[in-house]
Amino acid sequence: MAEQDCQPQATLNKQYAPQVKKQSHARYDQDPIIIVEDLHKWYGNFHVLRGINMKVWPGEVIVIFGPSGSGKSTFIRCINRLEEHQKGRIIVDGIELTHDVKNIERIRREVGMVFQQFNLFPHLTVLENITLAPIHVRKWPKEKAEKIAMELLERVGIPDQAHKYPGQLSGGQQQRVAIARALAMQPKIMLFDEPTSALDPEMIKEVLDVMIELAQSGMTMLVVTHEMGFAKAVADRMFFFDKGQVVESGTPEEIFTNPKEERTKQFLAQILH
Amino acid sequence: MAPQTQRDEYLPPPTERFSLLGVIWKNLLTPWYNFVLTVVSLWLLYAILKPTIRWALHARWEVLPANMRILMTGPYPGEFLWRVWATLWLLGFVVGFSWGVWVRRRERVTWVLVAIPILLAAVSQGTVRLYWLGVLLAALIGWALGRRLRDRKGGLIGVLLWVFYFPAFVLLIRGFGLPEEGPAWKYHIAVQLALYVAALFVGVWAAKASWPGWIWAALAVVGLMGWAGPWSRTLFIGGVVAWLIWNGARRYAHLEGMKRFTISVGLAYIPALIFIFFAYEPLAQTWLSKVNSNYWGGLLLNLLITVFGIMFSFPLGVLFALGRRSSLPVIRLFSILYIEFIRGVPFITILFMAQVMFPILLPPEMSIDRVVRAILGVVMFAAAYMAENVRGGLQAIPKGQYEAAYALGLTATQTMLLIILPQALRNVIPVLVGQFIGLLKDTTLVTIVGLLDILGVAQSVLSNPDWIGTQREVYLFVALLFWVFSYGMSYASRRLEQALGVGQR
Repeated sequence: MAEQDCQPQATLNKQYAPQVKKQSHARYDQDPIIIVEDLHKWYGNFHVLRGINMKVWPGEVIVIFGPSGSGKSTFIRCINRLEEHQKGRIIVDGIELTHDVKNIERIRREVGMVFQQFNLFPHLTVLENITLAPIHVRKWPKEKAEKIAMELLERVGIPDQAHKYPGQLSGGQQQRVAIARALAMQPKIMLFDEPTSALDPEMIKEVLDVMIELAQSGMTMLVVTHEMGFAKAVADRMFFFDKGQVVESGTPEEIFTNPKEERTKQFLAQILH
Repeated sequence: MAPQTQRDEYLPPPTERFSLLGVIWKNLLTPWYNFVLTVVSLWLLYAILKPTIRWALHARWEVLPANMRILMTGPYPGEFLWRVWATLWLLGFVVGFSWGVWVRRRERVTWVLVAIPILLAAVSQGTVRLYWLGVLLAALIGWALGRRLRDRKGGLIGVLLWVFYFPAFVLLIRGFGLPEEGPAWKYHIAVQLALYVAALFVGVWAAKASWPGWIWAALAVVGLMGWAGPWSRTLFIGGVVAWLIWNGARRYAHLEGMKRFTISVGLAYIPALIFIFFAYEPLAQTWLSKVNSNYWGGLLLNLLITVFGIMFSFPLGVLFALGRRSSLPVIRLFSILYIEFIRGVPFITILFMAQVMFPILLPPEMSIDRVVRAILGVVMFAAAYMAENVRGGLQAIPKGQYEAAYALGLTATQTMLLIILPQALRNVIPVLVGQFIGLLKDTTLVTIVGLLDILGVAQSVLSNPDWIGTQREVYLFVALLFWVFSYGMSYASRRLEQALGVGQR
């Protein structure tokens, strides 16, 4: 049984397996853009994050995976302060996250986020969803924001939907709009919190294709996902979370072909069926 | 067995031919118990309608035209009645203008709106008929103007017209009279206006400089401390308003046309001075002399209290709703206390309290009149209920909407104004309009604190020996009026929901 689980390669092909030439854009010669040191967080008495350490360099694509309740979503939500950490340090783009509201807003401008449930604004059209933050946060003139929004819609493949409302789009289209909305702020880092988990199988591919294109353009990305085909194609490093700790990390090759920890093997065996 | 649908075959939906006789036969006459029910219903209808129609034909409807003026305006002095009509002409103009700008399709409701003044002109006589035709004329002029300006800032002008309509309405009803400060008031006004113009100029031409802020602040402080003697009040108001103007002008100084606008305001200062020093006094003492709120009454008073009640209680209610969800304990506690206190007290009690408490709470030189006190009572009452309704809407917004907005870098205020409130308020339109309708009907309670609203006037008409025994006619008319306005609000809210709900789930 265990022998079989150690060879997930055979089953990978059943899932999403894009044919892309693997090419890393990570710039390890520069300073890390995200530094997380000894991060702890509690929900009431529940110790949800137990001492996470991570450094991310510009251009890296990080995939975070693990069982539900392992704290992986909580972790990336700490990076743009949607969740508050109680111990440890988070430094993003040279700014430490503290209670200082101005710092939090400055970091959020540079960090885009895509959610599992899309979280588009239902009362605004697609175009208004995308231009809202550039106009009100970056203070761009409306014409400039709309021009860039249309370019982004072109890039995610749905320029013809610009004047519809989110409720009129399919799930995959909504998630692509959400990606375009985050990109419109021209962030340095993109966070993806299980971006395909709420989608039908047919729509997962169209969203992952957009994310792969983004990764190949050199964007720094932290992705919480179970799409191992995506991880294999573009991830620079992978982190396996369990019970609020990083159990194992390494390149996709190391994780898939030669996982060190028993818990990692167990989990990979389950999701790669 | 039915033939199977082919793979490339798409069938039209099944249709049913409509015929009136068929529907009657199917729903009213078969089977036999439907037939019995139909006969019984028809007999009941006849039994109710026959005496009603007989009464309606012999009723003393002449009580209505004979007392129409006081039912509509109460004891408002007859020589200034044209000012009430003027507010209607203005309203006709503004509605017509809005129609010209915003309503592009042919709408059935257009004809209803046109029919109202025509119908009212048809049933009235003499000058009143001319006045109603004036309303129609104003609406047509406004409509033609709105159509011409449709693509040239018509929308902006339309919004401004509505914003200015309400102050104009009150000024026309109330008139001006002369300020109480004595003959020096002209200089006070002139100085204040000069401050405002200066603030505008400084804000536009020295938008980067922050030092002018200190000048306005200093003026306000000098005024507040009373260091300028009789000029203190002028300096205080002038300083505060100048600071606001200066701040706004700085923010929008980069806009195209702002400098031209500023220069024209500066030039307008001269005719304004001439008006203040030479034309105002004779005008204020004759045509536009003050009509105290003791003389406002009838339907006019009901509508006035309703409009102002809605206008002020709505924003206040939103603030209290936000306050109740605030993370700051003091604000939250204050909001909860306010809402629960007001909701725990009957409306009539609040009306009485407003009449007797405000004069005690305010300094003696600041007396506010009875109508304003009644409006304050209505606002306080409505705001508490409004707050709870709006809070219901706020709670229906998923957490993800806040998170998405914050993740984009929006501030808490921007998130509230751009993302949360538009959705929350849209969800509670039916409830809010229900409350507005309730507010309109509750205004009849001001009779109790001695104001002569339409119901109060109706009672005084009925106690007139000439019109004894006409309760049915008068109350039916009053009920009809309230129905018309309530239904109008209800209709408008449904249209608003449709307009805002386009393409949304």
